[in-house]
Amino acid sequence: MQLPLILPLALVLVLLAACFVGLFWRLASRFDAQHCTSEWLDGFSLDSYAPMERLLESSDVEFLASQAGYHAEIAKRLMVERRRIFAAYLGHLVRDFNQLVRIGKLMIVYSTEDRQEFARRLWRQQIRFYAGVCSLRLQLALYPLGWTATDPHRLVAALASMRNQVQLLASLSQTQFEPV
Amino acid sequence: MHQLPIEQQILLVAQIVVLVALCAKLWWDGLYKIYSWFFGYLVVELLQMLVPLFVPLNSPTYRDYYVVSQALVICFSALVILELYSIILRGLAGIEKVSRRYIKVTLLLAILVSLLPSRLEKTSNTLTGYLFVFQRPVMSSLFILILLIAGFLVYYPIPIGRNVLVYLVGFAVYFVATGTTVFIRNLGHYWGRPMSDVYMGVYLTSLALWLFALNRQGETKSVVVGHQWNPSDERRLLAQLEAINASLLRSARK
Repeated sequence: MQLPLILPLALVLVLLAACFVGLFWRLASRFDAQHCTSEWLDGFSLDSYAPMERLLESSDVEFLASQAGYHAEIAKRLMVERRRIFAAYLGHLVRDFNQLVRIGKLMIVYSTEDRQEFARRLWRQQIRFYAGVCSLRLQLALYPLGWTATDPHRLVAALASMRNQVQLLASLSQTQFEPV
Repeated sequence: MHQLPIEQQILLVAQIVVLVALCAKLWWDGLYKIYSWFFGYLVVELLQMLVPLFVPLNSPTYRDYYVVSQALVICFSALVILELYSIILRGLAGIEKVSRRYIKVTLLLAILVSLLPSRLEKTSNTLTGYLFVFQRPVMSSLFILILLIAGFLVYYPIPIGRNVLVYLVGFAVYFVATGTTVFIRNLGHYWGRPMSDVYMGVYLTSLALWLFALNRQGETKSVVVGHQWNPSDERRLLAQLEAINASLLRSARK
């Protein structure tokens, strides 16, 4: 067999094998539904993400700069620490969003009525949210280069929207669930 | 049979033995009632494999018989995958329309993707040549369909049994092996003996996997594979969902 043919064919087979292994690994280790509990939902609150909205504001740095004994190193250390905290908040935000998505999916699968519309909204929300997370992580990475336009409002709003949609599903039919 | 190389004779005998054992096991466990198209597929494969024992491989009779039986095998393969999909989604009213739409889209996508390499393939003007040109896209599209079905199962927490996973793995391996060997042949490379050895070996592996891993206990559905699902787990999950519902409604009224 000619070399120009072997390489692309081998590459395609390796890619397919990787997809195959990855998918079946995920299938064999899916999330444990027992972790989706009402206790988690009772403890969930959007207020815990309020600090995100001002973590990277420049007003604190401006205040420090007006104080005696200020030098640039102080501001640099402060912003490094703030970015680290912001990244941690972002991680929690993603985790909470994913948990809400899992609850929504469980409710769809076990629902006694077709939930096509909700499933579609859930999918769109996920796409928008993950695109927002990628954008925010990129902005965070570019922050030291002077890019300061970080806006977590959209993501917190997306989390609120997801919560509202799961609430809507709950209220739509006082959703009945049945065993599969 | 005597025209086959010795290693292929051994592989053929092994395949026949494993196939007979697998059919007997499916019958004994009652799984033939659940996976009826799969059972039919195995029977057709067995009949196809028995022919070389009695008919010379280079005879027109064998060629015609092979073409007809292989066309049947291809049809049964497609029906088996559709049967599996309907078994997985049975009773899931919440995602009925979503899953129907998904299968239509993925079927179309799988067919389009598998047709892409067709321009590279050469059609020989023989009955078997036409069969191989038809067979490769079908096998490739079924493999892609299996991947996309697995993706759907990863996205939604649909309870599936171990048998479904075993089924999917066995067929994925079989389809990719068949598609690849036929594709290489369709490109004009007649590596008859090595390719046949590899293909027969891979198929024997799939058959052995089904023989040892498919059983009645594998029909028990589980949300998490490996976690034994029983009626009390199901009741607890439903109670959890009801509690989540109640919590959501309480917070909505605040």
